[in-house]
Amino acid sequence: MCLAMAACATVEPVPGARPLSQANIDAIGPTRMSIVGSETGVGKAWYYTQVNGGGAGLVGAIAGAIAAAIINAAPSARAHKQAEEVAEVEPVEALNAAMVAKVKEEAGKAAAGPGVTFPEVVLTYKAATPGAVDDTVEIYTSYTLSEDSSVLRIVATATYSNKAIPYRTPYTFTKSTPKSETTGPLYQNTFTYYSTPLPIPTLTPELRERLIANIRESARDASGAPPAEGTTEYKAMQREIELANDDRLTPNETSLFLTREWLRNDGAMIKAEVQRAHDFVARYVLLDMNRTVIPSFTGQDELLETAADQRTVRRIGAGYAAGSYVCSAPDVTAFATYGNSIAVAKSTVTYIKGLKAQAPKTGAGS
Amino acid sequence: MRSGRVGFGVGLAAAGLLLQACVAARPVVYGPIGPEAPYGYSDRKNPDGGFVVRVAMPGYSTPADLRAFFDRRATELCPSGVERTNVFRVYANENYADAPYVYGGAGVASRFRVGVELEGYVYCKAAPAGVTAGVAAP
Repeated sequence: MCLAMAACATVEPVPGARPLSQANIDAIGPTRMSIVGSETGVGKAWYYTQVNGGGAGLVGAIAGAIAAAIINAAPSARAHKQAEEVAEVEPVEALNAAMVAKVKEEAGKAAAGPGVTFPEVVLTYKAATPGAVDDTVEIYTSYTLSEDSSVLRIVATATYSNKAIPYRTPYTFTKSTPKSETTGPLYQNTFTYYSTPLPIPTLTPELRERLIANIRESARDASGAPPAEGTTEYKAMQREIELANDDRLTPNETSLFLTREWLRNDGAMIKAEVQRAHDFVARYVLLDMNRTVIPSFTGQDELLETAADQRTVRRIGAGYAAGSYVCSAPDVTAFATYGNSIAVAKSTVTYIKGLKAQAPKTGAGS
Repeated sequence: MRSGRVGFGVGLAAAGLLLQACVAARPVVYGPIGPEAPYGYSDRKNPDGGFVVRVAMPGYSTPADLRAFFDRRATELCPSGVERTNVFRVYANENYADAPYVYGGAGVASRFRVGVELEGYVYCKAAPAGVTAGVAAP
């Protein structure tokens, strides 16, 4: 079975990063950059527990759906509430405006230089103007608070396509060239920033009491009434209280305390991390657009920069991520996980819907 | 218990064992990672004079377990003492399994850690005359 599984993975792998060749850099020269506005803002990661009751027929399927609702009600509500709280101090429009400002600043420094430069930096929302853009570098950014809210992860992906310059793979393959290497963007790379992790609180009786109080408080409806006994909301609350009474803090429980830390002083900490992340992304995208080294699947990481506070910037040397850039906090001591779901603030969803509604309607096929 | 359910259970257990065999649990013995040792440490020298040390362990290991191997390797690499370390990555490789179909019952999705890793830089104190610095593992 192991051999059979290994056989499935014999396609010659290549890194995801696509650097420009010198000829392409010379051909592109000054070009437009579009910051693709985030449409989720700072998302809150959480884990959705799937339940499959289909084995017990239709009744089982319905029971499974109810069980899933009970299991996921509290974690989902908690994650959405936290996303909303974060959006109050760091709204999506502010995030995107800050990113544009930082990239403009960096682009301005290199305006007179040779190679690929960015005389024009604009903000574009795909909700308002969907579709691919030709001869423009696009930067997509996602902002995610880890399940326990200890780490803010910011991932930026830069891509560039040009109909006049199709992508040609720099790799040679023993068999035919895989289809994935015959199309797609001319340039692409990923830039990941990890914030300084917040220390995980220790579970004390006092902390447990605060957690249970928070669960009861969160279960109240809009009018402030607690859930009625026997309802799904009541069962969900009881389940959360049971879980809170064990001897360990789950990442979801931990997030209740750590999200508050991010919100202190009008979100000063989250704003500082976002600013630093934008600085990292802006500087390294501009540098990387003029770097021609082809990443290898079996290379080695390179340490590019160590800041005064020991934060490092590395270029990944091996695997699918080879060639990508990672900015890491120093002295990391714990795991941070990102679950399988992202909660987005209602205010963010409303804002993006508004942009979409205002966008000029385009005819079919245009 | 109905025979169908027993058969399903046995099948599930067999599949589980086969999958387990692919990532056969081995005792975590301190030593370099190699073809026969998926867990342990690996390291290499950096152009800036420091070392990069990576520690890999099974999913049930804690960050403290990883850190213990890292610190031990740092001490070995620096006979004249460790000047400073900087752990930049503590990573849990998680697998999410869909909720299984359980005959006559309900299955709940599961998540489990396949493995954990830690990676960081090690910088040694300047070696006094006559003391040679550690050699990176192959």
